[in-house]
Amino acid sequence: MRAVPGMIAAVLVLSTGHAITALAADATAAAPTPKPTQVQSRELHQVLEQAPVAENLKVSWQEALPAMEPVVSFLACYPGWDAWTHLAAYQVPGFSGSTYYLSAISATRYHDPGKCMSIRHIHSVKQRPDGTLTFRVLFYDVDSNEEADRTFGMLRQANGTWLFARGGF
Amino acid sequence: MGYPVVRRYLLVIAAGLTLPLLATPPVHAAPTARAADGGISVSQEKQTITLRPVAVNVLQVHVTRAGAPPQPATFVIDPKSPPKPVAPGKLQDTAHAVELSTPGYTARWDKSTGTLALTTPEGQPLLTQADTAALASGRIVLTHAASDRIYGIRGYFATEPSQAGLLRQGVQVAKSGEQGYAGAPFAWSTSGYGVLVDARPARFNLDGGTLTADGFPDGNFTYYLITGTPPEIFRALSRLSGPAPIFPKWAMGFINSQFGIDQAELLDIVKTYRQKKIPTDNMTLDFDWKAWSEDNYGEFRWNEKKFPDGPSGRLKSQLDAQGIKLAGIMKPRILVDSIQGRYATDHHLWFDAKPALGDYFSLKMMRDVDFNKPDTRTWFFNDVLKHSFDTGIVAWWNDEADDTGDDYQFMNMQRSLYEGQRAYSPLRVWSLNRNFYLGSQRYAYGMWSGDIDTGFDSMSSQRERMLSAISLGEWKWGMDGGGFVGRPSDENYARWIEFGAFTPIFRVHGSLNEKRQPWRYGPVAEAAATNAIRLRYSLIPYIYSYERATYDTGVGLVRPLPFEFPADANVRNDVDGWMFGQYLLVSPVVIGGQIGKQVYLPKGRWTGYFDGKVYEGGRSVSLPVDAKSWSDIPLFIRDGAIIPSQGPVQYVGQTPLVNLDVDVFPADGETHFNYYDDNGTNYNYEKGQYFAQTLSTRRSGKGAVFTTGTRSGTYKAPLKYYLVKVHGVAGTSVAGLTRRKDEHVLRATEAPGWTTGKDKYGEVTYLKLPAGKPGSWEVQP
Repeated sequence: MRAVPGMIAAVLVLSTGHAITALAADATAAAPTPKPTQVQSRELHQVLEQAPVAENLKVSWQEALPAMEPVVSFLACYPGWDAWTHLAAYQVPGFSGSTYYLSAISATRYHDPGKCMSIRHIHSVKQRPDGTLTFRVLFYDVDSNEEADRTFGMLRQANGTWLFARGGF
Repeated sequence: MGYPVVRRYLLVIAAGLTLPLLATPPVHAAPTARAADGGISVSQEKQTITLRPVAVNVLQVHVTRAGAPPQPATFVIDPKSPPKPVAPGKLQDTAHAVELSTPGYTARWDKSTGTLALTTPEGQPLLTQADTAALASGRIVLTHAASDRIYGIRGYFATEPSQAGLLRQGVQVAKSGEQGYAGAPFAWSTSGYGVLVDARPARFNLDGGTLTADGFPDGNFTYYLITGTPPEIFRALSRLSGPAPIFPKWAMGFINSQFGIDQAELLDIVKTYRQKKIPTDNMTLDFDWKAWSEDNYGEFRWNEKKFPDGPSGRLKSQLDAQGIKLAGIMKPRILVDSIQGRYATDHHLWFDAKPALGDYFSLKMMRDVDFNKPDTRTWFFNDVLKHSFDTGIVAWWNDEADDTGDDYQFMNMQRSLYEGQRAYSPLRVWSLNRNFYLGSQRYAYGMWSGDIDTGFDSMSSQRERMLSAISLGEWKWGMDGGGFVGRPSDENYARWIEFGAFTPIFRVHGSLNEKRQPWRYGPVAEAAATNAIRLRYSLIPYIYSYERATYDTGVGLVRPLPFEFPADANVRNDVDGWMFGQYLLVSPVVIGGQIGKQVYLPKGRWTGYFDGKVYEGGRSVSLPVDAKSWSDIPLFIRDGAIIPSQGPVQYVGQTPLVNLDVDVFPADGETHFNYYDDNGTNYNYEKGQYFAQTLSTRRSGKGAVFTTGTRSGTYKAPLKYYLVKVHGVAGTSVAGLTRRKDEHVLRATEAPGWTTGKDKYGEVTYLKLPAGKPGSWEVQP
């Protein structure tokens, strides 16, 4: 039985840069989530550290890294549609769900869902006029050679931290 | 249904229980083989393998586990025309082997080793299947020459690195995939064979000289071994999987897709196209056209605020008068709390594995319907959508059905519209979809490469995306010309239009409020883009003939160079150029600021399309590139070319095509072109209402011969004359034809005739010949 949907108002920044109110996904039972291997965690760390970031974005990137790492790590492992209900601590306040979220694993057919996907690289790091720091993550599965590319957007908060305003599509 | 996440966990658990059993090599009794029912029947422990020819170049291999019910074919195989056995030319059962031969191959099953060897009729080895035991664990293991190059299986999704180009190696997954991806359980080689697995999805492993396909744990599956040249292999693929219906003729033209628009702006854009004499045939509308996520079937009806004359049909009338067709975006999701949502709930139409989600555009809860359910497909082309169709939305731009993990969701979405429209209207179906799996082509299914970035890097990577999709059977490919995300530079826009003019589906699109009309990018880009669009329109008789060829032969307009030149090692992974039909090679400029370009021309004689300069192929040639006007397109004519073209038009069908220009470049050997035309709008061609005539030419000493074959089809085409331009020949006489003073007089005279002259290609002999009548004319030097 599916739980009664919780409709949670949230602020979502679309690719157009407009702040709008959005609704979260239906609450669904959390899918079983594997943990990344030590090698995968180390690779992710390296990929984030070595991301191709323009000089003028490096400060922002470094500020945003503490939130990036756990989120990307979680999303490399989580197969369900409701990932953002588990990532509230890393989201812009009031933002409790991403209408855009697509599991990286959902792009695969032969990935072993008992394992996490790996991160091949980060690319397309940009800052939009509204201040959103956007980047793309290329997930891959070494066994099936399948890949999934996902786009993320983060906003700087008043306290200097960066939180996610969208992610995963 | 595909492999929803929860279900996949169950599969993994099941696999986990099963794999340890498989890890222990089973003890198999030696397989026994015998000739039976026009094929070869092999029995091994708990499994029967049946090999039968189903075409002269196709061997069907059907693997059945004892006691298992018959496995229905997937939608990879055409359900309307499943393959039927054909009699082998020879079937011989001896003490050592069973051997089956057709004019296309020999299949020999060695009884002592249990090995299948597939060779050409001349005995050249193609594929060997020695590991028969692997079939018991659901794996097909074929060996081939390690030097063979393998193509097909998969393309690239929108933002994926694509440096691999066209060649495939290692683990490769055939699936419909996410946006821009194309997949087919089909691998082929320029060495003369193809392997089609009736499965979805499918996993291949290409390891040196071994091709493995797996994913059939229940032990029941069918695959097809195909032999021949690339065109022969693709013809067989089309026969097995089903032909692609002919698109409406307007779809050969230029398509302007636009996001963020209303009726007034739409009409203004169309008016400007016509004022500037920039040809275009279609405006494709994004969310704007419909009452998106409103109650009472908002996803299927007009947005009356933005398009006040949409519902009444007045807008359609205005656009019809200007030769413009409309396509409208369609999504797989509908508003949950609505009349249509409650209908979906009551009739169990939802896609169960995907929950309702907040929609990014309307911010309301919406949910995908499941197009794998027949009830959904019947319902989707509902009365409200029929009204939108009747009032102008005559083509379908299907978006975002690629994220469920189901390889049939997108195919069946378009299938719903195809079957609905065909049952409702005589008009031909056109659609654009964001992924592809083999079988989709049966539903008038074009694809585009997804939400791509602007910029030269993104643009240049579209070449391998297009050629990869075509290399697995999706001949109707297009892209968001100019790029979807961002704004292209003026130069990038100009070059993108030139590139797009030589793709199967020629269109532009951008994100919200991004305009992609040529006049938005400055006068230099506008001039370059306009010329490219006009060039495209001049070639529509040529292009449309290949649209028919796709239907007939499974071989379409754009062909990767390895397809046309399989023995040329220089083009094995070449995406820089491609054949546009049999007779034009194009290599668009895809680098910003470029002032020179090296273009490889395969062996043979080539002529520059714009300057008439002659090149000997088998080498790269250096070309200057105009970095100021951005107007040059490296385009070459192949020796032997026969290229029909037409005069300036603003849209397809604007004026009846009474006289058809045909540029001819005779070669020593005879070459052919199958000219084709029909009414361009309905399916009467299926009943023989078309005009088709084979045109042929060859050199004859210093002269040339031009031949028109017997016409076929019953369509009363307006065409009266071919104006054949035989290039490189200065004729002195043409038996049976009256000489005219010059080209102008020849064109103006309502009768056959001939004359000579000169043009950018040099000496030319003009022949004015009656269309539709067979004949042969020798131009004496």
